[in-house]
Amino acid sequence: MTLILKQLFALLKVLNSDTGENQIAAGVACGLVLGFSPFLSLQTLLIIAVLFFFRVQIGMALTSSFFFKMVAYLFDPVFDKIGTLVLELKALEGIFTTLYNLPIIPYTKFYNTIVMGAGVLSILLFPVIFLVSKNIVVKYRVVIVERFRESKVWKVIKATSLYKWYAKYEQYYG
Amino acid sequence: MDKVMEKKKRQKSGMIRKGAVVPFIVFVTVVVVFNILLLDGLLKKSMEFLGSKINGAEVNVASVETDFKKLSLQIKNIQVSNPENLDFNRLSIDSIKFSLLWDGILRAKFIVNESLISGIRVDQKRKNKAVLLKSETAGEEATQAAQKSLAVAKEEFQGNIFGDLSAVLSGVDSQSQLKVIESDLQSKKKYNEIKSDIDKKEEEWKSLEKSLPQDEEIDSLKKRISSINFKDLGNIKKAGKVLKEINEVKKQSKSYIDQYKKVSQKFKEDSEYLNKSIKEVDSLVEEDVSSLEKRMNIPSLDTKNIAQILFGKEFASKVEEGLRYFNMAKEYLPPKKEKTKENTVIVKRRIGRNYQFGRAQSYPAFWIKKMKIDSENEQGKMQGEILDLTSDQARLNKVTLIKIEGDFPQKGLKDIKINGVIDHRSTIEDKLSASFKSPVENKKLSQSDSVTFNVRQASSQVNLTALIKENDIEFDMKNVFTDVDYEIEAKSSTMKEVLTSVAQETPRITVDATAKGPWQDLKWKINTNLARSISEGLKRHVQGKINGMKKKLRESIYSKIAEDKESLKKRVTALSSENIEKLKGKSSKVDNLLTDMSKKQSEGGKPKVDKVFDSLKKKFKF
Repeated sequence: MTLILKQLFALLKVLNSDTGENQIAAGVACGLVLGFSPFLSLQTLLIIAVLFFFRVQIGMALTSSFFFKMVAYLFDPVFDKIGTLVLELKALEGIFTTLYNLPIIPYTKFYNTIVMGAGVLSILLFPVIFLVSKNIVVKYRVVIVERFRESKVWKVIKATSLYKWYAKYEQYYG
Repeated sequence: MDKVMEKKKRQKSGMIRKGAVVPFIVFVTVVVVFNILLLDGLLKKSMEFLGSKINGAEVNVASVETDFKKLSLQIKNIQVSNPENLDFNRLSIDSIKFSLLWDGILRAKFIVNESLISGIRVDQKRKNKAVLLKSETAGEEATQAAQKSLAVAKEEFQGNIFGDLSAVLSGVDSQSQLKVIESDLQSKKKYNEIKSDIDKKEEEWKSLEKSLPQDEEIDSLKKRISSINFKDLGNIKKAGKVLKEINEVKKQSKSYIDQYKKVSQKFKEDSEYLNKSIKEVDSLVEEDVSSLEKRMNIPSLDTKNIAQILFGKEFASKVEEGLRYFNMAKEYLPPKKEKTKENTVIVKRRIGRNYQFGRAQSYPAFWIKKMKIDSENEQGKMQGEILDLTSDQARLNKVTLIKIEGDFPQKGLKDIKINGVIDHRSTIEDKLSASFKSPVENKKLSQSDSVTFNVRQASSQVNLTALIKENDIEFDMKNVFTDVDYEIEAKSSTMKEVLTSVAQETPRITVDATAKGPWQDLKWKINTNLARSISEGLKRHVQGKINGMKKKLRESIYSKIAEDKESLKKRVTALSSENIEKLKGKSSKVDNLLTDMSKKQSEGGKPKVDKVFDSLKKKFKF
């Protein structure tokens, strides 16, 4: 429960911060791939490397991977069907045979129906999730955050000494 | 101002997070070091977990040593406990060594050229008692059905023939047994049902009878007939009216008679049905007799039955163990599956199905090319090899061959020979055989409070063969016990006499057991010369007593229900005859009235009517 709350607070903090919308959206999209991939697989390691080397919001990626992991559990039968369909495509048999016999690539477990189904869906959904989440972040910041900042309640809170103390703390240690 | 600075800062930092290189290297190093330090421990735990699952009881591994450069692995001191005797190890192995191929591991395939197994010991006492694992019944539907059928067979083979016979010899009171189960007697239950049926029929008949024309209505009919002036039939003016009245009376009388007939027919049918039900009870009596025989443990002296009780359970347990190993082989060495749409596979959640896209002769997911067994120690020696243990026989077009030979003189276990061919290339076609000589001590054949009949000591030669073709098996066990020293104790002197003579006649026991057919419906055949000797010996002494007991039992049941049977029969006869006679009487009364009326009609009215007709003919010059 603490972990979930922590993740939720971190998510709110990121949304309200000045972090770029592209970084947040990329984090959500990377979380989708992480959530849909098996825990111990090559693609998971690749995404972790991407998170480290590129300016992708790591907190957002972890939060969304947590969410998409649960979604993936519910969609197992769908992944299995899609995976079976792809793996049984005669046209792709040659590619799959080559990949299957190449070094390293088999560690992606692409030959598994659920991994293949989830992989195909995550590749297809990656740009969609990226664009949608980017739009949502932009709208959230303009519509909700800005309005809240203009509200009297926020102004009252901002005027309190407690907030001022917190702001100072954030400036130096945050 | 701050915002402007931050914006500039953000613009400066590009897509790449240069500062993350160090943390990433640290992360990777931590993961690698963690794996190197804890890999051995993790492997050891995994091996113990999997081994215990396969064995059904605790499996211990002392240590696992890995060498990352050579990709080699050494497993030391593996102890496989005996699920039937948890203080002992079924098998212990000092060391298993093997090296994986880099070429394979890069492709996520486990390929071993040669592995060496050494230091094998059998039946060794454990330091600590092993833990028995709960047997898992989950699995494919077919496996569950097979397990169920084996459990049923084991239950059927359960019995305590000598204890039961002792009870018969000492004379079990059938009356007291009968009293206990009287309420469960099927025949008694049926009689109670018939009784309530008769009560219902009686009520039904009464209401039916009430609905029929009663004596008052017959009397009114009589009055109506007597009020008819049949002489008026000669009078042309009144004849029409009289004829109309006669017809109406006739019609009513006929309807009365029809009603009586209909109801009378129903009464007949009902009483026939009730009589038939009473007769059916006789067959239920036979069922009651056989169930009481079972309840009172009156044994059958049939050779087949005795053989099953003596050796069936043990044989069924061996077949059950065979099923466990067969299922494992099926899971880890799966046969080639045809890709058909009808062939739907149930996909486990989060696991899915793995497809294989190997080229001919490319590596399968798992392949130990040669598993060499070379063991010699104070217990004895064992040598042999297992070739081509692989998860994909079809691709390699190779079958798994097993050839093991050994001797453990210290344990009395000699001439161990295990040969096997596991062929899962297209369909399952496995052939396995095993033979060994071993000493037998305290083998329980039958143990009860009243009788002990066991093998104290003997030497045994066991030959086991198993042929498996898809879902059909043929499991054969030939067991010969020589130099048998029996342990005989019996409270009944007759029983002791019988068993002693059986023991003298049978110093060598042969057991020939076969289980054949699909796993779910195995046909069992167990023959043993011991069963024949026991049957013959017992027949000489106790068959008369058993027959007498069975006769007494049948008579007891018949006497319990005889009273019911007679009283019910009488009640049905009385009820039907009384009611049918009553209706018959009423019907004939109406019939008589009709006859009487017809007579009066022909006597009184017909000539006059004729005259009228004659005069009319003359008038119209006919």
